[in-house]
Amino acid sequence: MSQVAKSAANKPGYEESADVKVHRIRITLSSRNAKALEKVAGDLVKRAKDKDLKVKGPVRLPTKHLSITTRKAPNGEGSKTWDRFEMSIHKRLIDLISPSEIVKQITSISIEPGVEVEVTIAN
Amino acid sequence: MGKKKPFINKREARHFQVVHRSQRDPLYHSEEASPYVLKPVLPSPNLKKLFDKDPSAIPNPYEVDKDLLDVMEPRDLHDDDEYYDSDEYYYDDDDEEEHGGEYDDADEGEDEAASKPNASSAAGAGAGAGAPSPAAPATDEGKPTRGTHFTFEGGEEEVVDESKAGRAALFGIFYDDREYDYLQHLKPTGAPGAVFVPAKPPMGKKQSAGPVVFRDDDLPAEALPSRYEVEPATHNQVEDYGLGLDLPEELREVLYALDDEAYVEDDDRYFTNLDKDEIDEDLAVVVAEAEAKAAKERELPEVLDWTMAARLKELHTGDSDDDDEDDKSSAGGAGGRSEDGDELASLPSIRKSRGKKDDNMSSFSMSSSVLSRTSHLELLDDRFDQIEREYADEELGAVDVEAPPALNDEQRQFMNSLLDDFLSKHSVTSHNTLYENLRVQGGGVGQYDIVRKMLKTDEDGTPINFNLDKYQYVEDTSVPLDEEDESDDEMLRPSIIEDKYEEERWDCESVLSTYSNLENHPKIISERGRKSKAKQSLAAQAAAAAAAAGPATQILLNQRTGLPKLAHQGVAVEKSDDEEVSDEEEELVEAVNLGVARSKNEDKEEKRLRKQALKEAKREKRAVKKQLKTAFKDEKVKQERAAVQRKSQAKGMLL
Repeated sequence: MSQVAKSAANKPGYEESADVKVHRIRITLSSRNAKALEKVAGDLVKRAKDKDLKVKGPVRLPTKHLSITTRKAPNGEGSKTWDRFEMSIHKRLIDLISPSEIVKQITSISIEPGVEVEVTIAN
Repeated sequence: MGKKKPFINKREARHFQVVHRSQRDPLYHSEEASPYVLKPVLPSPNLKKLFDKDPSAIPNPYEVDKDLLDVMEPRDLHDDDEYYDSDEYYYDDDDEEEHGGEYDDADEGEDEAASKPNASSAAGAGAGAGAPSPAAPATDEGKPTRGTHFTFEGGEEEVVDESKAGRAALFGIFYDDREYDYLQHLKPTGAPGAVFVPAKPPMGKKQSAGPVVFRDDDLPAEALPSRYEVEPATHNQVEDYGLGLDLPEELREVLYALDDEAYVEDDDRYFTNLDKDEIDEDLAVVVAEAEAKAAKERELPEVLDWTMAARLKELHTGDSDDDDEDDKSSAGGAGGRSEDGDELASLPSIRKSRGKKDDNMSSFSMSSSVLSRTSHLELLDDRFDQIEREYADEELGAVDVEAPPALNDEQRQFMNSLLDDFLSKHSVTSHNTLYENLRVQGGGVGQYDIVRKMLKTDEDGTPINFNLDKYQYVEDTSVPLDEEDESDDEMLRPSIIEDKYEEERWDCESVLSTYSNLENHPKIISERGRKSKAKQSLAAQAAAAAAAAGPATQILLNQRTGLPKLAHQGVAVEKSDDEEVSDEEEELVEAVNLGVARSKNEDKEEKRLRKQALKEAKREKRAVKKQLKTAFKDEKVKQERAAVQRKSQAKGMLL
């Protein structure tokens, strides 16, 4: 009786995954308007979940508010009126563990204008 | 709980940005490729926090302490362009790889971005590697590292002072450079003519966290920008073959065939041939003919201009039309029917023009000849051809003025009789007034004359009867045919109506004044009418003076009264005349009221009475004046009030 080495490959129901290299991908989304950002983030997470990838849901980093308060007048004359300019930067992180092909699909998502997407892939 | 293992080690990871695919990318137009690509980017400067350092020791980039130089991420300092330019001071053998990477730019565009993270991550790695092992000297050769480039300044000065001799060693040039400056041949990256010479990797220096080689082989190629770039698509999609002399012969033939109409097959034969299993014999003939034609074309001079090509094509189509038609009419019908009993109904053979007619092969022109022919353009082409054919007609030209057709005698007579009949009718004209219908001698003048005669009245006002004898004034121009002269020339000459009123022509003066000279007989203008009255008076005075002074007195008569003028009397009379006249006509002489004459011998009483009378008169005058004034004033006030009232009423209505 020949002995077949017990390996994971012989077990029934084993899915071939050893050959496929998985990457750890971190997607950083940053934008000035939160609505578009949420839309893109939700889209990404949904797609990843559809493909049964391990996703760490959108981590919301604290938004950075940049504000500038200046006098309206170019000179010092007049009642002291002040301008308040604000800009909020929202940032979301999405972590994925996925094979390389999924990386291609990241690039095919529809990206809203104004949302900056950065991808960091671990070696 | 300690710090969890980070999900991604950002120092060693690869950083990308998702951007739109470049328009120069050949995959830009493909629908399968993704519209976005991963563009490698440098890691964010914020990542210095992620170093394995005391986060509180984050240095201020504007104040550099020498102690912290080996701690700092060199990339901070390299943010300044100033430092980037003087690259030579920063590199040692270790970093020559990325230094070489910096210098490489021109040839491999896609590696530019690749090399940058290479450099920075190498730098990061190098510094990171250098820091944990401070014991190990950064370099073996004693060459300055990034971390100690400030101390290198001193060393550099020495080098500069000596003879710049050792500088070439920085760049991997180990020749003796005391006499010859090898650095003059070094060019910065991207300069034309720069060649990348990679440095030899140092032996034994590689650490686990050494320079990171940018690996993108594990990523699907589609996710990354393409290696090669293509010019972005323009309107001129036509390939520029030029003459294409070096193309294979068959290919050239095919290219010619695309434009040449001789290769066009008519639909009916094509599809019937498709149906059959055997090839039509005559088709082979056609092919042979086409080949012969192509051979003929090759003999002709190379077509350099599309106009020439058009003309050549015309010549060919002229021949080919006849040939093809002959062939097809004879062979198509016979061949088709002979081979097979059933045949497709043959469509009327329409000469179809292929897609690109006179195609200008140059990619510089944007004219419509370059654009591919759409159906609309083809329609226009056909229409233009049609019109061109019309204009090819040689008979087109300026219309010659033809001589009137010559009539023979009978026709001429007939014409003349017709004209006479027409002319003799009086009521042909549209204006049907009695007077206009008269073809009166003298034209309009004669007509006017007749009208005046008719309107003549007696002194009482009764109109004088003026019997208008129409035919007195009408010249009978119609010569009855019986009385015609022998000579035909007179007949042909149009008869002129002569003017019978030549004796009494109107002169210019009469016409201007609209007085006819029949009743207006202008005379010599007399002196009297022209002179003014003042001048007249002066002349009269002079005459009077002369009359008074001179012995030879000329008795002048007063023109009005007819009485002789005497010296003094004449003057007075003249004067009074003048005064009267002048009062009436010319001057406004104020009448001076001298009042009642005062007698010389006047009593006091009379004087008193007179004075009283005067006073009374004055008083009355004053009263009257006052009355007038008040009356005027009252009227004025009344009018103003009425006006104001009217205004307010109007306003009231508006409100």
